[in-house]
Amino acid sequence: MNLDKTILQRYAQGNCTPEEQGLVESWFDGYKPHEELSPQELLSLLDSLDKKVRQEPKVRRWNWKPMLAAASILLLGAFAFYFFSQQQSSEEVLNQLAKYEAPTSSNAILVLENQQEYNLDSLKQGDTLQTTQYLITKLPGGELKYVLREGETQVVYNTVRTKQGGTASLVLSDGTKVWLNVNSEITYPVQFAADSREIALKGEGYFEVEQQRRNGARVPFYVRGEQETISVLGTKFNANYAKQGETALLEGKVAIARGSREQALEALDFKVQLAPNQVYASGKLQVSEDITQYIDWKEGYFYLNEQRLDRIAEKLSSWYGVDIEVDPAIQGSLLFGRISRQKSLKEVLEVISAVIPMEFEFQEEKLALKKII
Amino acid sequence: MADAVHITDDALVALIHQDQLQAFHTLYERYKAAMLVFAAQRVDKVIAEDLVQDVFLGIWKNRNQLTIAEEISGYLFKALRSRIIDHMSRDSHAKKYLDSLDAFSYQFTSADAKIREEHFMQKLEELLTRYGPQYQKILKMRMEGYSNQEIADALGLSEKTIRNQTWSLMKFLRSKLSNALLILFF
Repeated sequence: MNLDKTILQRYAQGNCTPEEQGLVESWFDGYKPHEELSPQELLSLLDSLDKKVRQEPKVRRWNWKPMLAAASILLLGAFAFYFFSQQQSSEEVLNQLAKYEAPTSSNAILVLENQQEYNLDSLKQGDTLQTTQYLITKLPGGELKYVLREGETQVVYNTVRTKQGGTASLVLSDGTKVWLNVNSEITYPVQFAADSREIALKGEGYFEVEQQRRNGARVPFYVRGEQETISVLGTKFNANYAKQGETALLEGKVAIARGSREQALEALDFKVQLAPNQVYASGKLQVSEDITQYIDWKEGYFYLNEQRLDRIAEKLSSWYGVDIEVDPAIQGSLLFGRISRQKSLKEVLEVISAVIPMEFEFQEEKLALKKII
Repeated sequence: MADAVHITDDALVALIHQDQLQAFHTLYERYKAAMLVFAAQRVDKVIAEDLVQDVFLGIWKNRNQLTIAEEISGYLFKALRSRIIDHMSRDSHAKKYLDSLDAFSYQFTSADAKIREEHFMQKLEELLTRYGPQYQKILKMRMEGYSNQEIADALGLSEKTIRNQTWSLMKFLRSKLSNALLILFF
């Protein structure tokens, strides 16, 4: 080394010769070992820096998430045309997909205790089904509401089942609200037993459980999945049994027990307790930074933040009712933002492909998303 | 709080001399992003944040003794450069920096101080153009649903500038986020 080892120190103290100063500064200009900050990194650093430099309480800070969201709009606008004009063949494929519109019907059926089935789409707003025990009314928002006739105590069960692209919502006789995602099923007593409320769930549902008391004690509410039961005391949560079981708690408190649906409640051990913003999935309890991602389906959009393309493809598949296969080379690509579920499949794919370059193949009603080679 | 009237850097410095905290914040907003980027290219990003903070807090703390003979932009980045080099000299990786400097010294032929200064300022201009306050303002207004023309009117810029800014931002995002892509639809 032909350098004096104190050169940097002396530079910082202002004790360099002009030659040394020139050397250090010229070196410094070109010395950039780190990659330039990504927008997320920059915005999150700025956020933290703002707090330190601007110490007033009411300082407006930039939150990087909405900014990313905004940035994404920008991306769309300019790139869309450019890319689509370049991708003729994929464009043709997309046109073939025009038939996959966002579902406009609920594609759900109601099964009464006598096994009579009703297509929920054929019920109009305000229509009422009357049985000897109860009335079911379709409310303006589309949800079903149960009203019991006086004096009836017999416990009977009804079922609501959704198919691909179908969702449903209902208000049970205790006031509990239930939203049912695609390919799901809920079976519930029209009138609950006095000391315990129990419903069975397949697939995915979001619950806002009404608190109920009897003689001063809370009446528990149980959601029974194939392999798991959730014990609830007045709360908001999402339960997804479409795959391994995934429970996300938005408000209140729930406890979870493993065990088959046939086991008696008394035999179950509710040892996993969830606090708000916690998620229990595949035997693990985790805190979610954005718990609303679990109810995107109920709110009418696809949540994309840090979601893998293959996972989004699964959601698109069950929403639009088309098989989708994702090239392993792009399965792990991460997304940000959200897309409305009201868009057609074609529109959604146009947006995604504008930022993840991809080609489409559509054969025998099967769509393949492929990396451009 | 859009800047209806653009205050020059010199005027800001004069106001900071008079203990105007708002002027200090405006100056901070103007340069913070570019300075962070500048520092984070050379040292760890957490350190970079600390050093940028040091520079600004130093300015506010010494506002009454502050004499700035040059453009404040040059002053800020040189102060930052000096703090970065100071950090390097005391860092546990000091040897790494010295080795790099040593290697550089063999191919270095002394450059004229004035030329170096010009080169330095030119690099700053590039950084500031990209990471100036517009970078954030435009984003924010886009988020609120304004059109290019409306943003241009509000910020007193031409519509073409907004389009260009949007374009360079997107180019940047595309180049940086090969795996983390952005999508949004309302």
